[in-house]
Amino acid sequence: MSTLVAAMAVAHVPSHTAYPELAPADQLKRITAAWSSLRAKLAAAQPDIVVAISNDHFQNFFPVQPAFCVGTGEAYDMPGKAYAQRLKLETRSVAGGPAFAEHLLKVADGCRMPLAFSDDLTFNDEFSIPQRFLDPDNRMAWLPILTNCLNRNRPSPRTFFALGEVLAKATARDDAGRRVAVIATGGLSHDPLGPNWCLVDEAFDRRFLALLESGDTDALFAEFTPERILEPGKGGTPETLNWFAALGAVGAGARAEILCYEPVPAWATGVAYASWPLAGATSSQRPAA
Amino acid sequence: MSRFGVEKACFDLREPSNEALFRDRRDEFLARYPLSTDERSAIARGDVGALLTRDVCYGALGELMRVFRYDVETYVTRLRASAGLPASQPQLDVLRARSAGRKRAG
Repeated sequence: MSTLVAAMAVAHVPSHTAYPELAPADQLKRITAAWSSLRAKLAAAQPDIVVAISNDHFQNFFPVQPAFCVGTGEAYDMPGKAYAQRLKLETRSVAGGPAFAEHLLKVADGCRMPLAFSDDLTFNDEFSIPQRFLDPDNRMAWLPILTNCLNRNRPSPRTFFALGEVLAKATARDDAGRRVAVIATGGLSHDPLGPNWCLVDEAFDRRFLALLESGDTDALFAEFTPERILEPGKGGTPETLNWFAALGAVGAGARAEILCYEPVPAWATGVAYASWPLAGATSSQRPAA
Repeated sequence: MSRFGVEKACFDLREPSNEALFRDRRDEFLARYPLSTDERSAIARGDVGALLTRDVCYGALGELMRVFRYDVETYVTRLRASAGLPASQPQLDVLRARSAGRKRAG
């Protein structure tokens, strides 16, 4: 049986690498501290595989739009060469997790949630930014799951949550004894290319985080309906759906630890970082090699 | 109406040869897509506001913003007017400062 050893949710703001100086210095300092904290948590958890859940930005999926697409490749360019200049990041090859990906696909089908898959995916900021901050030395294997948050007919919060539950089942039913981390990326309120571009909806963000922190999953579903999630701007706020998948992986009622929330209009985003405490999140359970 | 046709035409502008065709022979480019007269006209004019009301995805609108070289303030102002939203001075201030900061940073 494999073990879930870390669960996190983070923003993936492209301005953080492209234009960090646009953020006020005090905010940038707190955001940097949050990344450092999460990086330490992830390193301590010693994951064999990081399952990263985030949305396509139309770089892979138009006109065909899957709800969820599992990356089954051996390795990926992060970011894709077409996006490196925009993000001011050099492209690097990041190991994938094809064996666990194939296992996940089988378990998902057994759960009647068939998932799309592809060995050949292109990445923009959605995984490249978190990978750079959380795994700067590029030592971990990353299994990407691309989701539909930005196109119409996006799955509901409950379906994202169910995706996380499937991931938890796949972990529990995996005989390989892997240490699995799950990291959702995206959000919170932002509306790039939309009418609310550079407006941050603090009330939306703070309420969402408060409910995650309280562990009141029923209230979270009741308040953050598919319609509510579009209100601050559908250009980016629906990326918050990815956080429901991380919550689904750890289970209803789990209380998140909010490491940081900073509304940064100049980055056009409500920037948030969270993790969920897990019993298996230390390296002490790692068997001797 | 063909939202698909609009989005396909806009996303296809990512391909440099398509963008060149759009710039040089706009009607020929647009004739490839299943578009109503109004849609064809809106794309040809870069009327992002009109397309917003047709629920075209923002990624597609962004391609028109790029091709027509709209500054971000103009683009957002058009979207807000089309959506019936009042202009937001704080928003425009942030957009301007952001654009200036990005330009300085290079």
